[in-house]
Amino acid sequence: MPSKYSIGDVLYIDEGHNPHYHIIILDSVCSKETMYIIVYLSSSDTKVDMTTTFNKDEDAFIDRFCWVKYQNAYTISETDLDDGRIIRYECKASSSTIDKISGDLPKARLAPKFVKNNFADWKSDHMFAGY
Amino acid sequence: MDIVNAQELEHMLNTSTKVTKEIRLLYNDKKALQVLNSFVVLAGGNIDKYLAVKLMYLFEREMLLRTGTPSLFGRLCSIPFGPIISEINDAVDSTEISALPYHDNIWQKHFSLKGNVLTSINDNLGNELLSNFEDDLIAELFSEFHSYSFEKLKKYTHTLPEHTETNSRIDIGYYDFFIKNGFSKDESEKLIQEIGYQVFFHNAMLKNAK
Repeated sequence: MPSKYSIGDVLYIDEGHNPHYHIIILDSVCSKETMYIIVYLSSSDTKVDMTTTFNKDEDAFIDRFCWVKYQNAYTISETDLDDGRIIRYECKASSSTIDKISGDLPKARLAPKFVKNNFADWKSDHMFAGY
Repeated sequence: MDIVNAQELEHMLNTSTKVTKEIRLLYNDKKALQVLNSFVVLAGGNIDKYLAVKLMYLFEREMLLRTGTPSLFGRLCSIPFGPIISEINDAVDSTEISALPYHDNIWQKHFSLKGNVLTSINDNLGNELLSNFEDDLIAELFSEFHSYSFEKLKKYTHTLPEHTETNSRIDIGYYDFFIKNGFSKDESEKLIQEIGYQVFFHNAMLKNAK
């Protein structure tokens, strides 16, 4: 069965105030159920993690300076992602946005190690799946 | 949860039954175990209970000061022995060798407290929930405080700006924590809003996820 979400999907939680955009960076191709690695963007100007920053208009959905909050990077199954029932699809991030975050995630000092480990494993699975 | 301002969020985080329950969901027992185990490993397998509890508080404190975000999301309190993380204090006490065993108490599976000495009894805890930043912070705090005597550590933690001298237990709210540690009102409000979003998003999406 095809996955409902894919790499580059920009999602937000319908919560009634300024949305934080969540971006799917990578999916698993070998697990029984599809899993995703997701990061979200913060536009707070206090305690900014400068690992990956975006300027206004760097991508179509980015309307102000923002940064990736690697500290809260997470993995989630498709079932759990749907379970909230308040997820909204915003748009597709550009490939340059995904490449930028994917390139920085392995060196993000605040990202949990299990997320980095999954990222490395799944990236490898993607490469082998391509052969 | 519609966040209007920092005071409102702080009020909700501290007093609202609904949100108090929600923020408790963020307290991560497994991550707290991995942090404590990292300190115990650095100490060679066993550590003084008071030092362990204080190192755990100082870890959460430094995460708040350096990143603006809690790592463990435990309840910060001032008590007569200085500031603590309430859940961790209770969890460490629950590992006392004469305490009643509970099948769902994961702390009893990994630690044993005899007198004031906390010993690791199971070294397969891992540390994958931590970041490299947190690993480095644990090493830094252990290096700085492991040789402190009980009196020196007590004196140090009692001088922390967020601590209130008390004969009972007083909650340390995040907003007060930031203000008392030199953050401006504007900065503190922004940090509280970010923490509020994390609480919201966690409860909306991550209840069942890792």
